[in-house]
Amino acid sequence: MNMEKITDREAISITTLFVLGSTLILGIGGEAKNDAWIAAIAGLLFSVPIFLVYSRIVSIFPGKDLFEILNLVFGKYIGKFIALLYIWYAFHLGALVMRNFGEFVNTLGLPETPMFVILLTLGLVCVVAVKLGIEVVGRASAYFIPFVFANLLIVHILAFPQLKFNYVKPILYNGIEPVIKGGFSALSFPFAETFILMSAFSALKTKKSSFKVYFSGLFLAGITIIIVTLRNIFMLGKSFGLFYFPSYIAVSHIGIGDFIQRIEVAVSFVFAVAATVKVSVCLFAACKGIGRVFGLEDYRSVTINVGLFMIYFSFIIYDSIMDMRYWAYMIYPYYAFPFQIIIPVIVWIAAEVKKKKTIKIKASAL
Amino acid sequence: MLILVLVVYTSIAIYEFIPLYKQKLWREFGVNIVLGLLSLVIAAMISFGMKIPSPAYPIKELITSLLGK
Repeated sequence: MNMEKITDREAISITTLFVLGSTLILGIGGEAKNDAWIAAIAGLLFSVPIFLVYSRIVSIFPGKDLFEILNLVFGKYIGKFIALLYIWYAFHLGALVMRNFGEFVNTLGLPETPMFVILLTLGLVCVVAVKLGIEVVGRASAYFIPFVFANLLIVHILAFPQLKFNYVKPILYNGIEPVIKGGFSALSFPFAETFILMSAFSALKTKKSSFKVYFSGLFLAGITIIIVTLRNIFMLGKSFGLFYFPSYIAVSHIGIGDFIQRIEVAVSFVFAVAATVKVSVCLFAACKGIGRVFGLEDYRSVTINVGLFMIYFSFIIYDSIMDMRYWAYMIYPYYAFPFQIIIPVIVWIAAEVKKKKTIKIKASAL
Repeated sequence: MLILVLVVYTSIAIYEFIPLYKQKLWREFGVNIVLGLLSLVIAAMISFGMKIPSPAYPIKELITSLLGK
């Protein structure tokens, strides 16, 4: 495999867009109602120790991707089995994000168009991006991220006259429990999914950059999510949890004078960019994993087939938008828990033990 | 619809599989053939409008039974 390198800035952009990915579309912490912003903060705080684990794993094995790390830590057979689990997870996650975007476009933008067309157009862009390599995804996200933030900022400024700050009260009316639950689902839904990024971070330049990349990405994206959630609550109040796509509905309320209206399409741009980056990274991880497990020379040769498979999978995965919403909020946090927290912690402990052993062996050899 | 699917897959075969065959990358060729055939079957089923069972529901059953909700 030829070596690819991405700069820290590109990696931070990928992390930020990856976390923003489908979160901006679906919104987080719906069960906490108007305390969803506290749930987002709780999710951010919960994810700090998890991110320390992730970045520590990357810095123990510089220049190695997720599947090589699994192989080194668990040996050939168990490593391959866990690698297969992660291939499935990356594939499934990519399909879910694709489906979220497809449902969004199909519900609000192009209701007459078959969803398959939307999924196919998104999927083909991602296939091309992955075929060109992670460097291209990195450069594209570094190029797009100023536009994304400028867009969000302008929409926030335009939304200012519509904000009703009293909607956020009463704070913690239903007690702390829904907030903690919302925080847990916020942890699993956007933040801890970044474990998949480890398959791309073998391309990082220095050993120390993993901490910088993970934490800058986490805080950039986390603060954006908190601000967006607050804006949605200020605009929609308690009913914010009832909408399928709260950000889009909130922005559609904006009207300045008679001429700045219906600017929600501007927000769809952010959704499209973030979803493309997220699906590309998931596809990249799945292809790279297949390449490692089956001992292929280059992961790129399987990209088209895995990408098409992902498109079909996202097409068949749910029957309706209600299923999608139920799955995303009720099932997904528990389904993803082993992939996001249990296995990474085991990998981390095993890696620390292994590192100490190799240092001892080296010391005794001297 | 099926003709469209077949045309697309033939072009993928020409564009993807034949170079791999010529370069004698047998592992890549095998993995690609398996994945390609699987996705061809699913594409054909979608084009016939058949209902394909989704893995989302068994996972849902499993998790609700584990958590006891």
